Amino acid sequence: MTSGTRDQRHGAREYEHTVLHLKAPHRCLPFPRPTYAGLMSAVRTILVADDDPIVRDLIAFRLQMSGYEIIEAEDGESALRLARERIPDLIIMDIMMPVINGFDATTRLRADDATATIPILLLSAKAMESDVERGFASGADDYIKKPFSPQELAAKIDALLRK
Amino acid sequence: MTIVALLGAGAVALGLVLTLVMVVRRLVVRMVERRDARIAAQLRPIAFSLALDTISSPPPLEGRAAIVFTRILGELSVALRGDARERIATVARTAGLVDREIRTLQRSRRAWRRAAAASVLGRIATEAAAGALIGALADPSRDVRGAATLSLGNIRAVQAAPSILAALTTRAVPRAVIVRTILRMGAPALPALRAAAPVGDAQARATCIALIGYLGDASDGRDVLGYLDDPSANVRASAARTLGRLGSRATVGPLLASLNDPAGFVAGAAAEALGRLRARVAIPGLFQLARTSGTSWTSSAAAHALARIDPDATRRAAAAWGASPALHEAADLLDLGATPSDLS
Repeated sequence: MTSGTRDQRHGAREYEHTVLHLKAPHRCLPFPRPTYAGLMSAVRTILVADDDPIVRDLIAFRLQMSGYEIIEAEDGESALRLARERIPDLIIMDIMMPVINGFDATTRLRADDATATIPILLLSAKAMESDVERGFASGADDYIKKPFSPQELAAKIDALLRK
Repeated sequence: MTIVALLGAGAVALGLVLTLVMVVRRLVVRMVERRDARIAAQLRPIAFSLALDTISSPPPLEGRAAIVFTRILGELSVALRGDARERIATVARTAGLVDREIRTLQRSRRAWRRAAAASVLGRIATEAAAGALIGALADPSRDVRGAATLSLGNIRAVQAAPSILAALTTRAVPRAVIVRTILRMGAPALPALRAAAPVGDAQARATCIALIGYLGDASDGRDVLGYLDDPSANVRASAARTLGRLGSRATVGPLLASLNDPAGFVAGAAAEALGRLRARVAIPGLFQLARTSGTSWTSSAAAHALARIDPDATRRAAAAWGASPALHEAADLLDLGATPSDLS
């Protein structure tokens, strides 16, 4: 919690810096991806799998503010690979993704002993009741419909990680 | 010979110049894309911070940076809901980004710029843009009119519904765009639909009636009943389907009469509606249609309606000597465990 507040202050300073340099694009504002090398044992890792870069970046930005370490995947296949390699504490998974969709990726993660117990939060524009049912049937722990509220997302993540 | 050689050389030279122009243009476009990507990388964290309420206002932005930032806010707004989305709309308005896009929509000489402005205004979802977007429905470019229509749906500007529905008859906007927009506006668009239905041409009437079926309730049945006698068969079929969807049992009598409509697909639509309404009084008429209709779709619709209303009677009728293929199919579907929605 303390580190999250410190990051926000740090972020605000960076934006002031941006104001001064907007007309010099080569001096890019670094995307705030704080590292927590000294706190690795306490930092929890979240895999964000979504093919929409703005959604992925926004979620990563919000969760990094709260002190989580983020891994990003832009399709279902990469999500599966990264989940097996890094064993994150939680996975946020879009459904409509290239290569392997979120339902199938969730089913495969549940079938693999190494990833079977990782909480999975599905995040999707597929909002029909049958889609939600299919999401839970594939092994997801929770479901958020797009468009989403960042506060609701953060609350669901906290709840899943507390379990 | 010399003239031919000169013409050939001229053609080769022209080809080279055109190729060069295309290469240069491609390079310029690529440079612009790279510059935009760099600016976007700088501005995204600011947009995220605004959406997440960790900063309250953006830095002053000019030129390309303002355009890119507005685009980012539009993309972000589509992905979010609740307070975050409202904050984005407020920021875009107070920072003058909405006014800037409105000026582009109203004054740019390039149609693609006006269309892009109309689109981003709808993505940002600010009511402040409604007036300018309604004005853009009269734009000479079909792309701009289409983008403005969709944006009016995104911001739920119901006051624009009459103008949008008028475009069903003038064909100023593609029908699919109008349908999507009105569905997005939801039930508040019903008064405009009721007003527009009697005015338009046959396609407009059929579309308005179908939309009433999706957005209305049983109380709209009375208004739709009159269209079962419309001169256009498409309108009559649309009215029959809508009455089935609205679920008013008071409309069963007129729908029974429509089973005898000279157009087979109207009779089929009426059968479908009676099946949805579970109208037992329609059973004899539906049996008759399932047995005798010369149109396979119509007899199939009648048999499916029967299966919905009385599955046992349908099975018995299918087992009887001389039963029509449609009745056999309906009985088979029942045996396979078909649900009512499978039998529509």
